Amino acid sequence: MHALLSALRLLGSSYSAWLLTIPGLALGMLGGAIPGVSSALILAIVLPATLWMNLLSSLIFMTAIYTGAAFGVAIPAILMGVPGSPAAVATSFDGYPMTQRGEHNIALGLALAASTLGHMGAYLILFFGIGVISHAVLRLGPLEMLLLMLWGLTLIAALRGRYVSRSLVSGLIGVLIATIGLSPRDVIRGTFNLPQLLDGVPVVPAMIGLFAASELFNLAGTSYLVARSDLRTVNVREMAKGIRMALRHPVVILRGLVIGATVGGLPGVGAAVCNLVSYAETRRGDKHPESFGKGNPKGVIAAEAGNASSEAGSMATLLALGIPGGASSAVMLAALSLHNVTSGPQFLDASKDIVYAIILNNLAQGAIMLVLGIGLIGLMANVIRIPVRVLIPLILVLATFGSYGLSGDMAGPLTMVVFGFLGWFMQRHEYSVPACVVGLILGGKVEVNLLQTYQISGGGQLSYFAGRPIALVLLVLLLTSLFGKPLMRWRRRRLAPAATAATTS
Amino acid sequence: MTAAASPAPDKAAEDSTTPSAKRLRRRPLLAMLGGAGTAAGLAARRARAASWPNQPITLVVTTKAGGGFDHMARNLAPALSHQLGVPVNVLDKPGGAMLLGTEYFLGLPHDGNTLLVSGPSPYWYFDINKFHANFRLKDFDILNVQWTDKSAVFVPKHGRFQSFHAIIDAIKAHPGKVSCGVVRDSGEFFNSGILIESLKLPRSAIRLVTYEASAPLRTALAGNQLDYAIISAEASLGMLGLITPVAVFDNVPMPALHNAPAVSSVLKTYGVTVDFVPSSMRALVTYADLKAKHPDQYARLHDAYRKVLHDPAFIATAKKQGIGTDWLGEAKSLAEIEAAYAVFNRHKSLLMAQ
Repeated sequence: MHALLSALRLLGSSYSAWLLTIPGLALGMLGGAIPGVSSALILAIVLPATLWMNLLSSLIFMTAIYTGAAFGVAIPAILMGVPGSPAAVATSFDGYPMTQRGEHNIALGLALAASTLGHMGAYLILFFGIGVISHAVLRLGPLEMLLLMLWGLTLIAALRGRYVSRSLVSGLIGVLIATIGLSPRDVIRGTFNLPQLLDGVPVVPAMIGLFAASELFNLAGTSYLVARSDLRTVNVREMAKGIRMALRHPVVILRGLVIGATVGGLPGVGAAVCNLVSYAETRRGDKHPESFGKGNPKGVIAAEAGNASSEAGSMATLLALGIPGGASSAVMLAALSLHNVTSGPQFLDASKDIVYAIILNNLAQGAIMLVLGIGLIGLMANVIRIPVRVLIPLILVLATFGSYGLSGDMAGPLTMVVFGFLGWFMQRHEYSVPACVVGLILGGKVEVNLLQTYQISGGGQLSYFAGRPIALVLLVLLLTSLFGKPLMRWRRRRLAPAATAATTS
Repeated sequence: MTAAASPAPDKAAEDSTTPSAKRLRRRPLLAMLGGAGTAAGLAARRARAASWPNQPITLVVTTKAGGGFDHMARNLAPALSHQLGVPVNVLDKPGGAMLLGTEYFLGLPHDGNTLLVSGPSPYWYFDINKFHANFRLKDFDILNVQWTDKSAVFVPKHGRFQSFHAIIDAIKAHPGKVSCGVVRDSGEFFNSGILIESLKLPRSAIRLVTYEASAPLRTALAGNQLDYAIISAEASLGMLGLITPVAVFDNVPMPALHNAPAVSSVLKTYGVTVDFVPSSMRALVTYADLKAKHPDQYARLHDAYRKVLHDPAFIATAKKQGIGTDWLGEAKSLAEIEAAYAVFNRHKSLLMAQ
């Protein structure tokens, strides 16, 4: 309570922290909206500037960028089907089909509301239990992570076009590409002796290539993103409708934010996995799972709530445990050390007021982002008015620069081009590009956790599995999600003839 | 960039071999221009040599921004710049266990305008012996190993074992039941193997769990997923409430690490003496041929760097950020690296055993 009061005093007395919130959010949103510009990159660029700020201001500035970017990545995913980062992959699944139907205003509104609510909700959880959340993260060992990622991987089967088999093949191609480079067991695989491939295929340029090129080749025959000219408008009222629509699905948001706040904090997992798991879970629980991937608003909500809330999760582990969950929080850790602060349990005990001030400011950031976001998406949505023949080169140039920025040399743009051709080929022959991307993102992580599970259990001894209740619950959930419905159908079919036989006799 | 002036005359000579009237008429002019260019280039080069350095110097770092190597370079850059009178920039070239950045550095003109911040041990050892690197230790002149990490044996706060003795006893009593976490391709990975070998136990006596980086490893340890882990000590200080150091890979106990005993002294009670490899070394490096090719540049660099590391103000600020400021000098640095390589070579079977 005392810490809370002094947090309020800190925030009340420091106008510079508030002054930095708005530019931070705007910078994050704009940067996030450019495919290939990650929040970690923006944070790394502003890092030297934080030297001249006090600790609280610098942290608030950086979390504002983080928050803005978490929403920004949704914009190209929805408008152009090109997610700017792995965090928005699931957003594009339903967001882009909505745009093609002319519902881009609603989709953007949905994403903004889900992002804002996910962000605020997750920070609210943090406010009441930063210690509980950060320790919940620690309960998850490699086995639990493996099961969570397998859950995400089941999306491959769901992301099908006309042919299930081709979607499975696409997913397998993604997983295979993810095995290129030095394996977790230290075997060099499929690098063709190119040292550039030792760390594997750079995922983000590959992803941008797959999505962007496949979509852009598709668009080349059309003249505008939205086919019907009467729907080619930017309408704030429609966006507000999207925001209201998101409010009608509190369960979807809640599920997303619980997944984000816990899974998002895990090092090396973060938003990239959260949005996929949240999407998969929402799709599974829905009455009409087949409507996902074709422009179901709930898909957008689930993905955005999942990725927006992962920021709070990674802040929890960063501040309470001193563990950076991803590249963005690693930069924040560097900012902390610039201010001679070592985050971790001692920091949480000694500087509760600063931690609470960050949380409170982030709750406010949600509200500010809602206002700023409407302005920004109102601006960005004009993309649909640009003729496709102008838009395509623009996106390609942006994406190339983005890939160069990611790798720092030509490896990024080259990867993008190679995967662009692959994406085009797959799209042309109806092999699911999203399934391939899911395989690419999760394949390597699944392998690492599978190997660690094997190692930690002494070569797969069952006694290890028996002692892990969380894993067993996850396993049951995973199996029900995979086989529950077919099993029920099968039972119903078996019971039905018996029942009819009983009534006729 | 500096080499751009010289190819011009050669090209003019090549072109002139084509028997064309037009070309023939152009030849004397081109030759004159080319000659003038070469002369100007030579003069410029001589002038440059006299007043070196007169252009920005780049520190190539072989890791991503944010890590210890990058931190050391960014801390060093302004101080070197002050000594040399030209800007000093930092360029991160990560990838392939430091192989990509190191080969990139070797591909640049061998002069004093570029320096390398990299890890001769253990990373180059792995690059050379495992990843088919195109370089050897003799291609470099190690100016100084500035910062050698300390590593330590950590256990979870509420873990099964709370002392190094307890861990060893449990491994001996129940082989295959104790789990140990390490980052793969690291000095700590080697040390976990050397420890088991020194106890005359098979490698399967522990459940070795390998991690991609130290952050997930520390998370797993803090969450009591592992029985013990060997990790770099300095970066773990923030987590001391969650993980406890029980032994350090150093000759003397460190106060910051709860004065945990030295690994060697604990092993002595089991009648074991063994050499371990040092944890990550961070060094400032130049080209092996710089001293012969540009002795003046070499002397200037060496002098500037030595002055920086003997400046009490620099040492104080670096200490505050946890950055090492050792000055071993050339000979001792090389000796330490070679000593480390000798230990690696003795346990070479561990290299492919991950």
